[in-house]
Amino acid sequence: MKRRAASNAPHTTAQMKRLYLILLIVLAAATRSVTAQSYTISGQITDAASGETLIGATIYDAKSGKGTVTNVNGRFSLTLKSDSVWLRVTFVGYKPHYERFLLAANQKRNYALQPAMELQEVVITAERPTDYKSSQMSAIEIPVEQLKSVPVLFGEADVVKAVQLMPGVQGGSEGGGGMYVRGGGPDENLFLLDGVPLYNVNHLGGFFSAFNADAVKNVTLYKGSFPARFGGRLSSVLDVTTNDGNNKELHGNASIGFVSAKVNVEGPIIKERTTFNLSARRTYADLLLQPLVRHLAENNGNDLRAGYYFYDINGKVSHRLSDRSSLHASFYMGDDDVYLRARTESSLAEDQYMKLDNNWGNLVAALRWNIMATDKTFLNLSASYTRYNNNIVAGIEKIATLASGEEQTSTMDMDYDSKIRDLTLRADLTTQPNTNHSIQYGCNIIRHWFTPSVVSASIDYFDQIQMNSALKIDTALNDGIVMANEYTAYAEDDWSISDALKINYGLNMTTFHVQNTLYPSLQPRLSGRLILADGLSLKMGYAYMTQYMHLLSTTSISLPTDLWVPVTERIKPMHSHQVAAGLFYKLADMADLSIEGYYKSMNNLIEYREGATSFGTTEGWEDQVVAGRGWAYGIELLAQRTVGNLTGWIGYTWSRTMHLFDRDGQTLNHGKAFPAKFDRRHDLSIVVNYKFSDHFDVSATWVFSSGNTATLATQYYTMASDNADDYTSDDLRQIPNGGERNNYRMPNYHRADISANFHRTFSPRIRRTINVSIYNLYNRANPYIIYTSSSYSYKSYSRALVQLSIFPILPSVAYTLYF
Amino acid sequence: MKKILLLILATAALCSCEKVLDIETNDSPLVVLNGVPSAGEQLFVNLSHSHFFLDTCTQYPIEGAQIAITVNGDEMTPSEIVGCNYFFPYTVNEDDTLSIVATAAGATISGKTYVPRLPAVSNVSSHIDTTLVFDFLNVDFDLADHMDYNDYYHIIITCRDSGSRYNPYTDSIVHRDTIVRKMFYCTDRNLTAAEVSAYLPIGGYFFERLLVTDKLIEGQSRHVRLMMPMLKDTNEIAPFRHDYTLDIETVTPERFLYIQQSFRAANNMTIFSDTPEVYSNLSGGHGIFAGNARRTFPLHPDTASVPLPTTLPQQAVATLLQQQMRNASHRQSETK
Repeated sequence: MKRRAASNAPHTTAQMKRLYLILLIVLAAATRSVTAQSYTISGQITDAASGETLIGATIYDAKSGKGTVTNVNGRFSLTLKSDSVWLRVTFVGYKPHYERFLLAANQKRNYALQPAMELQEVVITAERPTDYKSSQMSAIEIPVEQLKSVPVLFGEADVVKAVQLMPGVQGGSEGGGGMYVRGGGPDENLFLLDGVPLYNVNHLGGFFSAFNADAVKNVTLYKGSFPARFGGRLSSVLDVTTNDGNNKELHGNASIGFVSAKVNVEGPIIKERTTFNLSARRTYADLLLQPLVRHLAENNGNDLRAGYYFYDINGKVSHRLSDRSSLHASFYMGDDDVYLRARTESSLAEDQYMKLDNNWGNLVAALRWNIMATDKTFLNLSASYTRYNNNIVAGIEKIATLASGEEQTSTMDMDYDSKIRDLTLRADLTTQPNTNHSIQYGCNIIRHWFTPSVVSASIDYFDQIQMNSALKIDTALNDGIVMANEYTAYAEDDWSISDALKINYGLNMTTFHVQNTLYPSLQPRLSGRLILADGLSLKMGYAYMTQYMHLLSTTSISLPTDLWVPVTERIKPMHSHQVAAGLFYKLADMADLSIEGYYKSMNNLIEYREGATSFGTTEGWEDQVVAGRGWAYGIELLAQRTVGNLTGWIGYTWSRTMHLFDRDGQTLNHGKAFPAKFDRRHDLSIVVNYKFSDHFDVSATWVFSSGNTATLATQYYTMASDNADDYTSDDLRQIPNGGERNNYRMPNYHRADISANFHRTFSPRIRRTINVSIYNLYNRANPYIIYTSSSYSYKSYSRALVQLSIFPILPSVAYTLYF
Repeated sequence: MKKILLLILATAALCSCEKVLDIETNDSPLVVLNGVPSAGEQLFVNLSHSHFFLDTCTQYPIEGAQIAITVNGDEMTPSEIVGCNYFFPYTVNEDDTLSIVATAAGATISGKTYVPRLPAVSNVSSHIDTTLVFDFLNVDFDLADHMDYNDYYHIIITCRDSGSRYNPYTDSIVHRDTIVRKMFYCTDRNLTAAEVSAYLPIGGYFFERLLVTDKLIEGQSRHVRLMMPMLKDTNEIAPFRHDYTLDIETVTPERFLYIQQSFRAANNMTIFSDTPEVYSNLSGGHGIFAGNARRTFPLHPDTASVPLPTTLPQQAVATLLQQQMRNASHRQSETK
């Protein structure tokens, strides 16, 4: 087997070993610093009403000033010196729990917090990622209840849309999907659903994401200073955890809106031992509009069936094996489908049908075993499978009637299939040897199967005159399955050096093995905070990231036809270095304020050559792409209030993102730097939620962003001919001159949305909510696409550059029944 | 609910709007020189300004331009200027070597080329295969065994259809008078299926790009069979007249690159895509200066039943299908 280091890898294997050794020594030293008189309090924190575990709940000893937060399984471990303990257990939206006791031995304590009627003010004392005391920076955490109240299109709460309202995060064009974090492309985001990657999270052109808000328990977005446990993408990690299910009694909700219906049911299978949570939703506009489509088509003498729908199903079963271990099985399945079947006019006197079916979606299955190995060590073992698939079937069917009256059918079908599949085994451990260290380490192995595209064709044409002749072709053109293995080991330590200084340092070691080529990568991570004054801290962070796969797209919108492809022997991994620094301030009990600046450099970015396309890869996608680099920098401001009757945030980003493709034979834009497609100078989001009473609350958002860039060929010239008369012909072809890449900026984007929720309780178990929302309140005509049109004139020209806007003011109503 | 939904969608459709955008540009017009010296034809070049993309006037002459062409060492100047065309008192021959220098609008443009030899074609024959659902026009010919300059062949089949037919769906008579050009390329070296896909420039009917020949794709034989579908119209009222010609043109590699890329740019259907830069062999300006030689053969196909080639190039078929799907995808994205 050929073994070769990547040309852009920062370290050799020897250096990698040395760094690994140093890290182990440091971690060992941290582990050994346990004092003899310390004892550990460990346990789990849950919702008293549902038994649902709470992620990120704070356990804080007011006397020693030490604290910790619960992990993804709601478990915690806090080691304190032997003394009296003044323990305070808090979580946003729950009543705090206070407790005093003498710590003279290791103790196991579980806490069940009572939900508050409103988002209570709580004293955040430990490491919520967004808190000023946390060593983590460049992270976003949105309480799920707040997320659900953000007004969106057709009243459908959406995780990704809410996250895109945060500074440093941008959505694609309206109706275009995609998420852009700190100058990164849409393929540079790692979307994790219960720790398992999802490769396409867009439903309906990005207006809905694959995350059903009813099934979501916790959402955290990392956009820089990544902890070492995360890797594989350059720009962000969106970590979404789903509900385990109520372990006390059966509950659920059912909702119906203009375009979709959904249901969520959760409850115990074996009380307080085995739970389930099941969520499903489907859009049904296709069903309602089908008669209209057929009617309109028939009026025009056509026979047409066409539509679009998506559905997704989330399911999870959790079983408590003992007080120290639990088993979780989860799955997700979601598909989008566009279909069309039409009778078209044929030049032959036959019936001719055209059909097109485009189906794309994800399938995820995971099995996770959580074990509390010791009072200080948690082990998480998991196996998971994820698949993203895009399939297009197009064809023509002809029916001919012979003179004998016999019908003959000829068919021509094309099948395009593109998919990516991963099988992952992983082990993650968390240990807290003392109050000053929280160490996470683990390893995983991922087997990838990339199938960029397979086209198969089936042609079956029968002779309609003589039965002795036919054309039959059944062939497949396969770009081939590329298999790859990804091996990762990581370790990180959250170290409180003093009361004021705390750092999180770690190392992610990954090796990607593809086509007999090894790409090892050592990725150091470091972030830290220094408390400058009460409520004020300075944070800094650095992250080196490597990405081993690309999403090839020729368009500025995210389409299901975009291809996931791995690095290969020729295409090198992408790398990024990102540094960030910021000030974090807690303004009494009013709000959290922060200002962050970042600089990110990216290398080995790939883009299609000018004029190349992603669809139809017989030329070989490697031949169609070029590699280059880029850089991004910006400043982000955030003021956020998560408690009280008035909640929300104001986020502003000033940023710049540039790309440069100047390598030999791989130039774009004549080798000169150019702004990235989603280089937006200003981005502002204002989100306000106000709870007037238990029966009524209102939310509103206003967003503004600079227009997207686009390449506009402003000069045209005539195509050469060897016939002089051709130059005076009306048919003379015109060639657009490419001009500077992304030389045109579309008009600015801004929009206001508003929604109101009316709640009513019928009985202690049954209540309902009516959501009334208005999307694009003042009917702003935002740009969707631009094009030239002869239907309009501009100045003295008989053509014009025209902007098309597709989403005007859109009111909607949704009814949800909780039981 | 259904009515409400329809009302909302109708509102959305009505409110979805187009708006004319203001556009300011400081781009200066480009100086464009196009010259394709063709064997047996009078030498001429076309010199013009590019035009603003909203402008429908396509040719702007450049006042005061100076052009000189040196042919086989002899310099000559234009004898006549008509619009943007500059005619020289010279008939182009095979193997001529030419260089050009033009001074226009403050720019100096220069380039050089040669004139390739006329394509050596023999045994041109054609027939119409009626054994399938579609009638296929089969064109056979032999390319001679010499290609001194590693040039490319540019093959154009032109079909002019005229006649009338009855359309049973609309219960009407349809008159048609169309010209359809099919273009193919082949070269002295081996062509891969991917290259075939890349070189076949424009689309139309479903089978338009289907290029069926036993050996062309791998370049192992000089015998070429091109196969293109015809419309078998069972409802003809006035008999259709089909006039066919076969053009086979030898082009220089520079001209080939220009044709390939300019067609790709001119047919770039995805408005979201970045426009490719078109090849130019000129310094100081845009355009092309590259020679060619062309022969035209009228075709008089016989109607005969001719068996298909024994081996279908399945790679080419699949490539064709992908291409069609790509077009469908573009249309879909534009609709979206």
